[in-house]
Amino acid sequence: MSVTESTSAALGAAAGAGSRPAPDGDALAPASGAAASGRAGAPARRGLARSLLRNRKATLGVGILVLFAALALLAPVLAPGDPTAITDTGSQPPSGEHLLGTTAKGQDVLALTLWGARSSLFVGFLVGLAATLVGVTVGLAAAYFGKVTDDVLSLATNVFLLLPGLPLLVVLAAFLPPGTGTVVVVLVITGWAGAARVLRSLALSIRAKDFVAAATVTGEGAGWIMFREILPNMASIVMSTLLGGVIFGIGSQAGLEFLGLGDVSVVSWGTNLYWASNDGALMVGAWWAFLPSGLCIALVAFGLALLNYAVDEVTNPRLRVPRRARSAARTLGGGTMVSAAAGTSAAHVGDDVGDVPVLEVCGLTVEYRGENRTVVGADRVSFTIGEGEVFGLAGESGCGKSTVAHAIMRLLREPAVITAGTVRFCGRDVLTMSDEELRAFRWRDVAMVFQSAMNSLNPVMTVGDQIADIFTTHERVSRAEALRRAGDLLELVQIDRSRLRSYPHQLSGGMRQRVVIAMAVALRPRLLIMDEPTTALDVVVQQEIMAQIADLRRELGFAVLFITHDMSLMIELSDRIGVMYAGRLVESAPAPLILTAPRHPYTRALIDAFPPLTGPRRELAGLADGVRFTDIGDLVEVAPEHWVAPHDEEVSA
Amino acid sequence: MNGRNSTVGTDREATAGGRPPVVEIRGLVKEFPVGGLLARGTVRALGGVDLDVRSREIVALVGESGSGKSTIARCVARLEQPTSGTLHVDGVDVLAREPRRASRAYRTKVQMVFQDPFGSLNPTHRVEHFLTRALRLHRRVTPGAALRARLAELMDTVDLDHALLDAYPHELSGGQRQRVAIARALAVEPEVILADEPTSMLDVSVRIGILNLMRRLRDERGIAILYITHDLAAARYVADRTTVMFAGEVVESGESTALMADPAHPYTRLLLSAVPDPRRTGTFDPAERAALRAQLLGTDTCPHSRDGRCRQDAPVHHVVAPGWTVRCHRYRPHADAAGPVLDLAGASTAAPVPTDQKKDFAA
Repeated sequence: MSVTESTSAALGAAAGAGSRPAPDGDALAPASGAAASGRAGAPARRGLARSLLRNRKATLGVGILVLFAALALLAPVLAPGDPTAITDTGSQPPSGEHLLGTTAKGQDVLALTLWGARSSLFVGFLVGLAATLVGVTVGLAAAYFGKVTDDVLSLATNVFLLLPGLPLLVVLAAFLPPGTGTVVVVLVITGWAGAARVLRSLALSIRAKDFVAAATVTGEGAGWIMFREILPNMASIVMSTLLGGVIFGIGSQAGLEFLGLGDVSVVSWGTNLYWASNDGALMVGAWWAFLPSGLCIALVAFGLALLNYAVDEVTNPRLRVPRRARSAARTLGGGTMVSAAAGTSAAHVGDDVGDVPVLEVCGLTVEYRGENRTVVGADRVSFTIGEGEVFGLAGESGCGKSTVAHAIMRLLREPAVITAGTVRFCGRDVLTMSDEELRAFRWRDVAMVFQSAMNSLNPVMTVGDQIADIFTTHERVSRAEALRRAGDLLELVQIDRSRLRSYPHQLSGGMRQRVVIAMAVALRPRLLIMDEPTTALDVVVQQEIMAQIADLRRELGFAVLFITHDMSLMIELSDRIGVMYAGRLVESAPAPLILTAPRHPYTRALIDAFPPLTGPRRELAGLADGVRFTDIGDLVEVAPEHWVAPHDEEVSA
Repeated sequence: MNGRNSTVGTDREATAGGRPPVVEIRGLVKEFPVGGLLARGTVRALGGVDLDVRSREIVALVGESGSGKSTIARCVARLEQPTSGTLHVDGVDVLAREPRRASRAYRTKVQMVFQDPFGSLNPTHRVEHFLTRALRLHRRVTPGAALRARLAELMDTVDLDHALLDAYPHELSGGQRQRVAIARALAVEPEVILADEPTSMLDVSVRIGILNLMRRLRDERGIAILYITHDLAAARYVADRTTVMFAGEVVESGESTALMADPAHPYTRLLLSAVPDPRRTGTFDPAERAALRAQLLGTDTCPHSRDGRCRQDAPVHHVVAPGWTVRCHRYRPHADAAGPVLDLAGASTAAPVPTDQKKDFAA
């Protein structure tokens, strides 16, 4: 196996991007908000039980439920006598003899409450299980088979959802023979539809995933795919459906029985309330007759709700707050960061620019501080970009190139922290700028185009309004003037003025990307950072966008920091190129030198990844299996303008 | 691992020696329903595609997104039901024999590797599960020691560490996941693998490894591979033949290196001109390329049909060279085009079939 693969995997996993990283994107990009907040998605699923045990809400919830289950099971032992035994000591308040008092008929309330737990919990869990089972089956079948099956099942689900629940309960309960079984049947009939609808839409989204198609192609049958491929991926929602169903079951049973629609001879929390009400306990102030059962219902519901919330929290890491990462960021991040190691170890690259360079990055180090370990996203990175120059930063997912771009813009968020280095823009220290200075710096001085920027346009605003907003906000011009300049800007990227009134969805992907680029250069920045600006686009459109940027650069004269993994594209567009590997800059040289005389084996492997379109076909190897570069030093000038980092090569098995 | 075959096969015969194709697609049409109850319509994703894939051959299907190349793979994998057309696998008319869903015997012959290795492996299963299921379903192995040995062998074939059998997909990198997906397809011992953009979501330095693996499977096991990609350079690197698709139709098809050295169809030429390749001379002249695009894509169907002729009258396939066809009204063999430039709008469609390799466009 190739070790570059494992390296990027390790980096990705360490950064907590356990969920799927963006294609070819930078796994360490701060945009992956789940970073270091623990493992997302799939990883969480495996340790669901273990993670729940560590969650305080879950522990408390489970504790409450276990307590009540134990009380119900041990009722014959714990209860002081037969709950139904009618005595002449009626309506006694709590005392030493009757801990919770007695009812009007002289029954012991403690015994009633303990025995009542049996029926209530049994019915609740049975209803929850049955409703979930029906819901899962209907939801899965509708989603998997689709077409007519889906139409029929969805119709049934919606009809049952629309039926008013309580009246239906009352009618059904009145017509069916009284008894626990009837209550369960009635509650399942009214309760399954909500579960089915939620589970169907979830199953539909999973049904569309490639692994379902892959299982079909492997030859799996319908039953296997539904229950072994799709269902396990719904575990957390099924569990919360189940817990919700139990709450519904216990509550509705109590409601029905309170109304006298159940079998009132059964001892349950609901019948306890019914008799308390019937005996006028509420009127004579015998609070002890109804309070215990009511409190029990509330407590069990509370326990279930806690557990339900904990399941959500564990399976959805975004709800969790990485406590340690936050405190670390507070001390080191933000506007007060002091760059301790600034400029000490930095090798200045490409300092052929006479004047102050547009951008000067020196010894930049960024760390991602996870719960258990710290990953270095960028390690002592130094480079400069001269006036009007195009500097390319090449590398693969997780190599830190996007981290560098975000650090320059001060866009890094926790758990990413700049721990050393300086970033100077035209001589000004970017890392010590105040929030006010930063606002002016971004967009006006340095603009950025992201990989999926074309999807970042506001879908409910016209293109014209979005561009005009830039001018009204930053330059305080009139609306009419702003719109006029927005039109000029569109024409600059060869889109007709009439498109000002278009909404983003009315434009093609390439056009949207051009709009985004136009917006980026609206305030005539001196540096444009482009992070994989064409990765999601077709090759012909990509070529057009690149031509557009070349034109704009000729006209406006801005410098470019161009980030991509596509070496062919980068060599065509850039003046100089820096190659990053595992957070380090390993080679830096003018573009033609990178193509014709790469010195670092990793640079060579990157170039090899793009086979030539002309000449004889020869076998390309990429990186040999098991090679990894370690101890990467600072760049050393090996030829004029050609800098390479010394390194050790490790070959593992 | 076995030693890599260093010959790349530039000199492979484009027609693969007239062997009968493993997959033979004729007139494949796929229409997708669009709109709601009131305004029901269809969108034609494939408009009558012919395509052959022979054993011991990699055929690349290239085109931009929306050109219908993935739809072809999904039709052959029987994940989509074609609207019309025929599909023969091993000489069997599968759409006639198994009209509704594919039999397991069919799945034994045809396997697929998906684009997104993050989505094509169920996150709840271990690697071993994927391979074991494929082996069991197709009765390729008996349980016990033989199973372990076969699993190890599969992992070896795709260059993965045996220890990864116990790993969950999220513990693997993209490249490793794609190797698992390939191993799952191989476990079935198929005759054809449909590879739908298998490298487009991988890190660049591991892409070549996957392409080399595909070549090894072709050379050492004689597996036929339909390789769907938008990356012309990768197609040229790995595929014996390349078929270019545009708007649901095959516009050009031929031996990869010859086709890319001198494309006969204007759309192929446009695609090629847009691929960044710094080694190419006279590279990156944006103005020139923009002009070419404006000229070629001025209309909504055939790039060369400013007069809309392709819509009224479908172009026929012209043979450029043995095993190399192009579908375009404007194609003329070199000898014809030597004359004055003609307005070909009214010219006969009965184009001659040239035997020489020279060709050019009259435009």
